Amino acid sequence: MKQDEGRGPQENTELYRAAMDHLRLPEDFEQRTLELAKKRMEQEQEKQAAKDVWRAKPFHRRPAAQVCFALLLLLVVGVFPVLYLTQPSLSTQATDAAVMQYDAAGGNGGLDGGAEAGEAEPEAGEPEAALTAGNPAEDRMDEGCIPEAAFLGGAADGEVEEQASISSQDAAVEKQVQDTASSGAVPPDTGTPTANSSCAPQVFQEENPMPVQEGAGGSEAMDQSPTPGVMLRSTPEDAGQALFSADGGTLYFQPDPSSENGGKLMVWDGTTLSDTGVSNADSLLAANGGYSYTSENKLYHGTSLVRDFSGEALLGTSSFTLRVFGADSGYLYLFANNSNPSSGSDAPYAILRVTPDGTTEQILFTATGGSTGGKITQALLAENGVIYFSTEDGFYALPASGGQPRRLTANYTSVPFYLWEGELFFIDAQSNLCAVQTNGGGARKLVDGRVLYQPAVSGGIVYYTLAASDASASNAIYAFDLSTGDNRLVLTNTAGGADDFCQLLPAPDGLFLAKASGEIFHFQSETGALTKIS
Amino acid sequence: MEQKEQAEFTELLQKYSSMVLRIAFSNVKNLQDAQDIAQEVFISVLTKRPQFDSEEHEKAWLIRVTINRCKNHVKSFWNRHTEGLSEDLSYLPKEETGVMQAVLALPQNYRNVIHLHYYEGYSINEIAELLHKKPATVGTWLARGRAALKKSLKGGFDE
Repeated sequence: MKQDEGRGPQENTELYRAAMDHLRLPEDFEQRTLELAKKRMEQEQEKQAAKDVWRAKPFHRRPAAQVCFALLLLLVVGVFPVLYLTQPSLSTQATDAAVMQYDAAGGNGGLDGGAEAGEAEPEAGEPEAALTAGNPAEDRMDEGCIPEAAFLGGAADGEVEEQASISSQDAAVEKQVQDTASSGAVPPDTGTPTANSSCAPQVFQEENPMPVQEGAGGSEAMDQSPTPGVMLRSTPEDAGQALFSADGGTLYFQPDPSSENGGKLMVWDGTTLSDTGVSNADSLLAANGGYSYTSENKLYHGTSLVRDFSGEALLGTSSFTLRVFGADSGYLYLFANNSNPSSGSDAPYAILRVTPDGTTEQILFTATGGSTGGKITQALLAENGVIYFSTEDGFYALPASGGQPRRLTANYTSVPFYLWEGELFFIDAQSNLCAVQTNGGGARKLVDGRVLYQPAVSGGIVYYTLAASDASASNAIYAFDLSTGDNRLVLTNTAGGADDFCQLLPAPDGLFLAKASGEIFHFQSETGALTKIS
Repeated sequence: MEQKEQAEFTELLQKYSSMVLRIAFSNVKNLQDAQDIAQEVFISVLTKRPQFDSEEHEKAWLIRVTINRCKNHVKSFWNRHTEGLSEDLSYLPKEETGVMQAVLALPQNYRNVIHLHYYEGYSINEIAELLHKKPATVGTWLARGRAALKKSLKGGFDE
């Protein structure tokens, strides 16, 4: 396929040179190289010294030679007799021979003789029995525990089926959680060891079929300094999805409009659930000690109108849908997508910020369509700018004060992405969990070979489910520790159906979980408790 | 390490670090790996302390070592059993990304020759000497590389 129509050979050569000129070494490259070189030289010297010492020793005093000799001796003295004894045919023959010898001697103490002969059998059989009884893996499987291999590949079928059978009812959910916690079959999350209170704010939004939520630091970090979170409805095509946003332990959510409460915005403060009286929000953000939301291109904080954008030409003459995605001390951040559902790469979009009182507005970037355009499905407020995903071009980083966005990666994702300690975590087109630094470098694949679905990054832990196509999916929730690389099962879902827990949302102490039906649960990773919120 | 040695090393870095990084990148197609390889190359300068007859000799040694390290990297067990992200170049401006991706899609031998010729400015004979290949082989690689680029990029690279 021809690319870049209309350029000549000379221009292509120049573009290649220009592209190569963008490559840069890290600033501390020289210092790190010097330090590494020094270390290597020291190691070389130590190795050389050790070699010299070894060479100076006579052969019989070298530890390796001594070990080899000892092993050989053990083999000769120890293993041959054991092998002889454990040969059932040999021992049986010996026993039979003894019986025959006794009978031939004409002794009428056949029972005694039998007993004597019989004694030899258990002795001979002991090693074999020990081998059979001593298979701990088999024992564990029999008891129904889930070995590590179960969630790495095959899953303990019996366990999954049993739990699935008691799902589907709320009471059963509670029961399963208690069973799970008490049996220890599913180890509870021990927290977030790499929690960093200075982590970048995270916002999470979802594209298909899930909304997004904003993440935060580890549980401790969240407790000390709650990070504003946001779940945004991504594109107009996603209408009907629930909205979520968490700030510390407070969860704001607007269920699916078709749910029982009619899609009213609710607040859960950790103990009680209350109705805000708001409905039909397009986006939702926990911010500034409360919540902000947009509806019909009007920005609200709580029940107060902050600014009415509906009459403003944010995208020229194009109609638009406004969503709020981030907040810092001075501004609320929003983006506006073209509201025409059939628009493609030529659709304009805009990213803007507005003061909390709504008086001052600043357009940070406007994509005019054409070479840049599409729709923003999710945006996160990072430490020094905005990271967003455009449906047409992939991930971009936009400076906090506005300007030209820089493309980070063209990798596509269809699920929420997160920021954690300067890295962007996302699911790539092949459903692998990937990370890339917010400067565009250091791309890496974290969990390979599994089809991940719905990740939620919280305190250095990536919680995720497996796509229904994965043979071991079973709607279980796993945790991948970014600092240690540990991958473990944290919760086995009680409900049947692989898409039951369809949204994972980071909470200060674990996760908020949403079912497709609109029910919300709170999962406490330390205790393994699963509580139904609504 | 003596101060004089350190100053010489700093000078070496300033002169050749970008070149080494570019060559490594054109081979391994990943900035992080290229940076690691560049670091290994300069560490080997410090630890092996090779003696150079001239500046050209020094430059040629660095290029040769860089390419060898890249080949080792590509052949390594880790690299063969993991799959890198192919889009880690896309932070570049869009137009440049297209050209870069076209070059990086070439086989490694063609890529090396194209880079050394079009970016570093080496002639076919010089490249042949650097790569320990016959000039005819290098010429063939260059021609095939250009032909492949013509297919993927309108206009290709100039002759």
